[in-house]
Amino acid sequence: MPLELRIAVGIICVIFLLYTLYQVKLHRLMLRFSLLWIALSIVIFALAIFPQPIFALSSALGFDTASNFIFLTGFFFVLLISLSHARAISRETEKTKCLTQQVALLEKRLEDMSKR
Amino acid sequence: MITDTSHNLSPSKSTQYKKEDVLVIIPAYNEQEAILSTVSKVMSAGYDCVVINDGSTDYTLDICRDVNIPVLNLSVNLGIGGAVQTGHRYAREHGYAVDIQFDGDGQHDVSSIPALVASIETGADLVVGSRFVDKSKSSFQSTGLRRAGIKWLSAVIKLMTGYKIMDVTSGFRACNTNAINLFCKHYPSDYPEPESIVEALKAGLEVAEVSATMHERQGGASSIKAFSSIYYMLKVTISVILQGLTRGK
Repeated sequence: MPLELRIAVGIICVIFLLYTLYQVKLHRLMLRFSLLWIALSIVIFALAIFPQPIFALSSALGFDTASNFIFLTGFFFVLLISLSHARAISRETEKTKCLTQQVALLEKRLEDMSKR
Repeated sequence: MITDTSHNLSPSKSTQYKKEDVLVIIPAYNEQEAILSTVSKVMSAGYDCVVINDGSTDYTLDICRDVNIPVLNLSVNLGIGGAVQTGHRYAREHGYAVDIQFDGDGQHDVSSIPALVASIETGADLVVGSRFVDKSKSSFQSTGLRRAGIKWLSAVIKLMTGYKIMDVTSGFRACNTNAINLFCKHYPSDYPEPESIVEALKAGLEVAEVSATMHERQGGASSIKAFSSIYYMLKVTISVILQGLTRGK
């Protein structure tokens, strides 16, 4: 892997990491949703600096090129993050439903009380 | 466990309910054309009722408020499942012994309510008002394709639970407090009718099906639209199977 590429990837990772941390600091991103992203940028950064383990691992697993291995791993990682988001959305939907129902019930009770 | 009490309404030893023990829940999403006539039919039959306005964008809410119809207003659209569950929670809060889910679009006939209540009185926990138990009673039998879909879901439910319910998508149904408590805790969200039957059966509740009169809808649109019906069938089939695989209590 050429040195220029490794430097470029390293810089992108650092910027991405700082951006993520900045979003958390501004409370635009909750820490628990940022952890996977933070882990991802640190791992990629480490691999850009020390790529040898990746080459070794990918050839040990029978990949033709290290890039195939990285793409596949990255793809699964993104799927995992996506699934965790779907779970979070489902949970939030359930909470919104519960709250909406509660508001409707309270509104009705308030109406009934003011009529009396 | 499943009993068809439609031809056998003779009162048994069990409780008799008065009309004021029964709450009719009318979920309504953009039903401004039909809501008033539906509610007035229910009220003149002597039942308490509550309209669940499911975030309608038309005048459904204003119409109800104008003429003092009890209405629960959901500020955002939750879909039929969330709306009906609100009704169950209201019924539980106010101590009703029986609640009846009744469409706002004029599809269901008030004259069938006593048959549903009678079935609750003879021991059922959840009663499904059915177009198919006694076909002569219902003018509205639905289209061939839709009937095929209902048959399929009915077969899946039979397979998963061992019980045969024919009109699994019927939104005309009665619950006693056992079923109300169960559905307050959890009620399926998008297309809840077939799933909730399985949920009740898995919880060990007694589900009955009685003949009910149904008409063509007066206004509004079916919650099951034609173009999304394949998606509907797929989703309900999967959810019924998943629901069926969970161990009953």
